[in-house]
Amino acid sequence: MVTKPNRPTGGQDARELAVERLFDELRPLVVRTVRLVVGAGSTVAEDAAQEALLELRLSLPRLREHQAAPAFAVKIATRVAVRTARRERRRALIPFHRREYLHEANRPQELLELKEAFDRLTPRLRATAVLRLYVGLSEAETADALDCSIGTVKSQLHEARRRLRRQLNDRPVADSTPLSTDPERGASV
Amino acid sequence: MTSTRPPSRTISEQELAAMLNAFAGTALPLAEPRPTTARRNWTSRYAAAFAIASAAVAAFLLFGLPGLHGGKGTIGSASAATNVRELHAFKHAVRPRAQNALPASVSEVINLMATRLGTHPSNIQEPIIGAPSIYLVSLGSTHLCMIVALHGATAFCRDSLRQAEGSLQASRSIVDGKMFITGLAADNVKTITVTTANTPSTQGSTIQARIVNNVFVARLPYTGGGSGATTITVTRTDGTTGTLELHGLPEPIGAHP
Repeated sequence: MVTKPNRPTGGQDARELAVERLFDELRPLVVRTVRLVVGAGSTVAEDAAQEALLELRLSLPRLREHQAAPAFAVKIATRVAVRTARRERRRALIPFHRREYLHEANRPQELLELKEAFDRLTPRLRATAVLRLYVGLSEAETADALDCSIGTVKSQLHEARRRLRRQLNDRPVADSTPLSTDPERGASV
Repeated sequence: MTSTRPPSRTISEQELAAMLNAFAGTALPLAEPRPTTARRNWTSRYAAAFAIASAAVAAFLLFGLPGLHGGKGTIGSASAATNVRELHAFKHAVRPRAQNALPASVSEVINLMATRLGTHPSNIQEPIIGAPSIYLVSLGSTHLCMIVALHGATAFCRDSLRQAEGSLQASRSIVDGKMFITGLAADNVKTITVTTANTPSTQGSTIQARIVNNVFVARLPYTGGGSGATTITVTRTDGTTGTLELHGLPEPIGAHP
């Protein structure tokens, strides 16, 4: 009625093991990149990270040059993260700028304000900043990951900083409005 | 409320990098949970509503309104769905577990889903023990959640079974780097067979999924990078069969052939 699965050969076992090891190495990079672009602390970000991991896991065995794997993984992570962040902004399902978790870990106030402002940037600007300043890609590598020119990377990073500066300087001072609870947010660590 | 505006603040790249480093680790309690959210359920509801509406419009165009010219004007049968409340696993706790006896990752993901669905977990069951461990949790009176756990855990919450004429609801999941086909099956499902397509580097294979208490699981074999279609064939107790095709993920941009 049902046939047994084909038994993998020794070569296949070794390849699978190598791929799993590579996948484990790339996992934190993918998860953290997606998180930062989509919005760290939201379940949507974790969902997107999982989507990126699944895509990476399925495509890794086709990667011939393993030294290209980090860039490959970042490219997948960025694409999934930007797509998810754009969708969530359109649906306005997540109040990116109102996250309870921001106030849970005794973080410095200036850092929290910067994070809130960062989450209001467009996904593309966020992705550029994350790739350059967190992942540590060069301008050329960032341009490759985002499928744009080096000039665009430079201008987007500049634009991100300009918008952050404007947001932080224009916001109302001593706003006593309490932060609302984000129903989409899970517990945080 | 009176206040003075602080001096203009500039944002350096170093400051931005420090903030990103500070928040990169801010996550949910699990490393990589994949909860199927209420939002997804809404999406599927919209999709189903759209399909039914499309069928109605098509029928109207084909047959006109029923009764206007004596025709029957059927709009075809809408796709069958089984409410999870009808499932045996929802009504009976087979192997009940207390939440405090669960692994931390499973407990966390249960709390996460309960928060998101605005309800409380009940009837926690562990029908399959092994790798992966699969837990079933009833959430409120509407959802049945399946939690696939190795070290991390992944949750899927369903309010109905809509695939294969209402016989199952399947998902591909990845837990700790291993891929599984998991899902919920209706009470009348006897066997579930998972067939993976041939890929350029490997032959396809056929695997019989384990079914325990409305849950089924099959570990996907190594595909050599193939992400082709996976076909699930359901055999019911009355001898009828149904099939479902899960398609591969889109090809990643820049993949090396």
